Amino acid sequence: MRTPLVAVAIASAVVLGSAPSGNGTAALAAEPGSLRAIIIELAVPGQPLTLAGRDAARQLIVTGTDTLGKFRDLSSRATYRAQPAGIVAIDPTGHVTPLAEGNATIDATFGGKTSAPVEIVVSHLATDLPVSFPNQVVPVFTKFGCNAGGCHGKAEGQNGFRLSLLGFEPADDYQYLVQEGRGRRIFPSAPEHSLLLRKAAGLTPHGGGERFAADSPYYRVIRRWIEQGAPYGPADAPVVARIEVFPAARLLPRDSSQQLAVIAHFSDGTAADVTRMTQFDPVQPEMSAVSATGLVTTKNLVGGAAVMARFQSQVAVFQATIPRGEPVEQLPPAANFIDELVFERLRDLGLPPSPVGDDLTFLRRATIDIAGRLPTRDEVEAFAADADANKRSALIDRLLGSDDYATYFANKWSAILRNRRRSASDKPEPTFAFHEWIVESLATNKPYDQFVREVLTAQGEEVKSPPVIWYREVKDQTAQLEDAAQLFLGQRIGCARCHHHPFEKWSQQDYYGFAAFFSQLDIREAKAGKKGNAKKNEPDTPGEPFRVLLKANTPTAVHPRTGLAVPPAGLGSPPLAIDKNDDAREKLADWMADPANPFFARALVNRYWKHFFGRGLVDPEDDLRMTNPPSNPELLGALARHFVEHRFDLKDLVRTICHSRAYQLSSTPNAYNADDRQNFSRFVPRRLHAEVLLDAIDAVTLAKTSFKGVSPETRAVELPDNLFDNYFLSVFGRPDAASACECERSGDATLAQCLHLFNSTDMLGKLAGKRSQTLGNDKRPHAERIRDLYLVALAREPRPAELAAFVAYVENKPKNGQEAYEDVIWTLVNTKEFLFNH
Amino acid sequence: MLTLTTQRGLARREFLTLGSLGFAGLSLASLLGRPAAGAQSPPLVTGRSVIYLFLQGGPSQFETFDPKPELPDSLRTVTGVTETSVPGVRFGSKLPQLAKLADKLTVVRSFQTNNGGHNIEPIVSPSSLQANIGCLYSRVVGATRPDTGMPTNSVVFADSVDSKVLKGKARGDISATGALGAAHAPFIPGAGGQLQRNLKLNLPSERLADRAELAAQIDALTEQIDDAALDHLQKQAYQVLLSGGVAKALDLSLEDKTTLDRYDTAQYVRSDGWRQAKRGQAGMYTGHAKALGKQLLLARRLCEAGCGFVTIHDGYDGVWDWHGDGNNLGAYDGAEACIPALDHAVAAFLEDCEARGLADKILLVISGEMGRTPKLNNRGGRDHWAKLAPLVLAGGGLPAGRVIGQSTRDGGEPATEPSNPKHLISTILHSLFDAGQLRLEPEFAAISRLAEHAEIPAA
Repeated sequence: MRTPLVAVAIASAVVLGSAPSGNGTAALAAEPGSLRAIIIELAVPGQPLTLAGRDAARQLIVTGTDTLGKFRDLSSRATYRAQPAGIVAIDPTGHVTPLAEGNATIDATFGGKTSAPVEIVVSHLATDLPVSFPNQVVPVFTKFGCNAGGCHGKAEGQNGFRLSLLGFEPADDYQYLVQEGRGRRIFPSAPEHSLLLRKAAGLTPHGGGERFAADSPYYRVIRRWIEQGAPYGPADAPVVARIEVFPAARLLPRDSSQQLAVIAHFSDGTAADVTRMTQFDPVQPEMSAVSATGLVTTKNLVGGAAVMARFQSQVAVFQATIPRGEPVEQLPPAANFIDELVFERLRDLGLPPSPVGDDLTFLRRATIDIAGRLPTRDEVEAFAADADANKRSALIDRLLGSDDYATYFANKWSAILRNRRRSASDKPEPTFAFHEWIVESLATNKPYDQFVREVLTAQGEEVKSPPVIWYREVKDQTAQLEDAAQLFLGQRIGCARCHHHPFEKWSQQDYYGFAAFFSQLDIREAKAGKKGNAKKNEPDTPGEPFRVLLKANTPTAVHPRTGLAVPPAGLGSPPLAIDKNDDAREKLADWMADPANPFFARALVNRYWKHFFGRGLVDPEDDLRMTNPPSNPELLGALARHFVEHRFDLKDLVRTICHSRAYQLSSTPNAYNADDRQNFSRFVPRRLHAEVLLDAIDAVTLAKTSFKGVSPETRAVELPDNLFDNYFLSVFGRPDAASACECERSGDATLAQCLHLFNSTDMLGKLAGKRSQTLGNDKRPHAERIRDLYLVALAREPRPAELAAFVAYVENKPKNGQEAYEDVIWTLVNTKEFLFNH
Repeated sequence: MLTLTTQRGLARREFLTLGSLGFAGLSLASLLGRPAAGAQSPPLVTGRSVIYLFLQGGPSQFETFDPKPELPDSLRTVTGVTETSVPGVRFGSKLPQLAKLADKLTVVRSFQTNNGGHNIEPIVSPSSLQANIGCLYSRVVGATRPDTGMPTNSVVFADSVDSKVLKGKARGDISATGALGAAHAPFIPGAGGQLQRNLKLNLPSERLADRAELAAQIDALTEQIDDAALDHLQKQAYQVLLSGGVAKALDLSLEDKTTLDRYDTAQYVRSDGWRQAKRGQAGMYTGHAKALGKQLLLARRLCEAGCGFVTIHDGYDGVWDWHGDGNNLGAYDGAEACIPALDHAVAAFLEDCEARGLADKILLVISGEMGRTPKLNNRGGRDHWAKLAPLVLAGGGLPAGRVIGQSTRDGGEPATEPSNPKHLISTILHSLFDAGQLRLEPEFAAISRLAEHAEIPAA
């Protein structure tokens, strides 16, 4: 039952360079092979580990390799020995602390195997090293949540004591703590009486309770810092340049564990173990947990589970891959590179996928996802009868060529491009024009980079230049750059407006560099016209339209902390010199459309992946930060490359995705993949979007919802903006276009929705509409009439048992044929098969 | 509990008894016994509720909480003053019960709405995204509690508790949802609204039973799309519809008689209904006095049942609008007509919450859309005033027994740092939400930004 070849791929794929190498006959055995060797990681022969000063510590990572090449974390299971005794102490988890100055060797033993010895040197115990406030004290506040956004780290602080958020501004912290609280928080003459220590250790009543014990290393380092006179430390003290988590990635069985070590690399080239000073957080808490000491424990779900480590302003991730370990034998033939990469991942994980779904399921699925509607009865019958082996591809092409494709995707883009009116008194022409422009762009398959360029660089007046409406909602620079970054680059950089981004590398410098692209804008609000007084011979004052104009200034933005002017710079790119007569936004569009741009194509393909699979390769789909790694990085990269190579062709992207067997898999789970959301081993059913659902109900009941201000044929997916107040759409989670985030659209089921579908006079009225009337008066046998409903609502033939149940029901209600059909339709539209795309 | 089996008869019998058996699954005890936001609530919320008692018309600061007894007759309160349980703090003399409970209150004497006309600010204003403040709560937690169907945002008018009084009406669309979506419109007991209409069974229960039975049969024949959450919600929907559980939370007759009597303010109805003013002829003073106590009781029951935000609309077109112009009473009669019921109702509410351990769980906010002129007009009335308005907060875990801010000597403006509706809304949002968590959710960015505004100082 084991598949030895699979594991080689995983081992080499996920275990990075510094791990021991397998012997080429690896396997994913649940029961370990016999232990071949054990080693203490991160030890370089000839370079002893060092512990300098009383606060130094070292987390040992001990890895066992078995005869099958599989790695096991033994850090908490091995027995440690240090010789000579009395130099270092090693706790059962492999955490080494100094006892006396001198040299020692350490080895680890498990299952009869002993590791090679590692040398360690302990120094600076007799004469203390000065404690560094930024490098040793502030990280304690972060580790224990003192400076978190919900506590002293929030802008106004907590109960009069303030810290910078997550310790990003140690100089500010020093001021708050030492200078502002003079005499209250710090007592150098009696360090234990310092309010800082008494509160943190819970010895004086503290709203946050006891954060760490009075005898803990954290307590001791702060106490010694106070003893030393609470210095800030030298101005040129080394700063943390980056942190490294070891291991960076590992294959971990379900319900197993792995100790992490975190090494900080400083600007002076030195490195130190900061494992116990690091704050750890699981990125997918449903998949793994992590202790304060860096012990990762996997749960029962299969796939990728990242753990974020944060020390000062630096973050790094550990990526666990949790396999299922089943043989994956029956894979459909790959239709394109998507399948190759999805299936490779499933093979690596040992997670067998569901088979490819049947034709009519595909018809309904693709019609909903591409065209935003149910297939018609004619389409269902024609597709069922079509003997062409390529009929699925032909269907995709036909749907992409239809107006419905452009309409449906315009509905999606309209919301995130903020095409909205704020109140019913706003005139509709500007938003209607922008909607029309979006529809047209999609229908003509305008390349995506061009589409984005035209939005970003929009200027002129509303209606005449439709995309300026985006700027009507994103009026200030902050909104412009934050929306642009989130929408087009998948980067949520808003945090960096006020402080270093807590989960990213973005600093305020990056933020204001990006802001500078928008610094030439001159946005003029629309003004209502005024009717003149005819008697007084006053002329009418004409209204003014909303306009976006450009000022001829050199684009810059001001960094609020340094007060310096920041020139425009793409995220992570060097600053640009842009002439005052050039539109900086053009340069921004150039930077985005550059094939080497690391964000632009990835953000779009991930967004579209989410559209078709219900979940992004990175999830949430517009949060592509480094601490939120993709579940299938190779696939995300390949899709982005494909998109760039095909010149940002959106229809091609849709075609490529829908053509894949991965998209066409059945939604019915097998014995292994019911819980899988992350690896796409089956199609995960999801509720129809509000607009699609309302149109579907209208189509089934033949009772059209009408909307004020548009023609009576207008369907819900065709509504040009948000301002069509409709309880159904609202209760089913239609977005109000108040942000660039697709998360505004809610697919969650609520009780209010069930009540509305079950019992609203609205629904009851639709049920009594033309469909039930027609069917009630129809003279054909009930079975034929019920078949009609199945084709229209569920795009399939009824099964004999279903038909029998419905026919029996209708025949028991002979009095009023229509009433019986109302009940039948009610039942069908309340099934999950109807409510969901599956 | 409801189990829809495919066996005819059994399922049907069970189904039809849901209405009476419903208490097993959805009893008043289960409805009322849970805190405003239970253990399953997302960590975005604090579990506290807010009741906003809105006094339509623009209540006078002088006759209520900032009487200025040291001023000459034409300026100071027309009612005389009373000492309170907080040394040095005095209220108007029509507030004897609240004076005793002043140590439970936070009185803000530096609040200004900067609004001098009739509307429903701060309940609905640009500072609340043009939506009833409760919609912000609904937008974050959902329009109903998933387990009980209890709406999370409600508006209580006088006729919500007494069908015999004049129908309630606000000076603006108190159900406004701005751009948050119609689903978040407040639930208005007794006044319709889509959610409430949907909570009431709109087809014969026999017919719903037929359909439920048919649905269960078909469900059993179909390949299951696994969505336990939806299954559960559909069962809940049947229960809510057949048992009328939410209706029971609204039924004051189920309340303990002593409690009901303690809240009842009908004793303050004047026999002639203050007919000398047109609002009196319309029945507004009567409706105000008769209903206000019960409105507070209903609000408390709603909060207990899971409603996180309740707006109490008091005063119809504006019984607090004391111009003394024939439409309205003047200050002296207005104080007599309006204040005793307020004093009684709020005092009953505070004592009740204290006794039930709800004092920290519910924040009560009392204000109108503006205040009144310092100088009496020549009819003995007070006119509109934008620069200072009464504001009282109680409960919700706020420190109590305090006066925040001071007004100028003539009671016309804040003499200390002014507070305005933006501060108030931020205070309300901080009471409802864990603002630090909320701002991490991009979906709620617009709401979170309102909470980033400074709160009322020290509140």
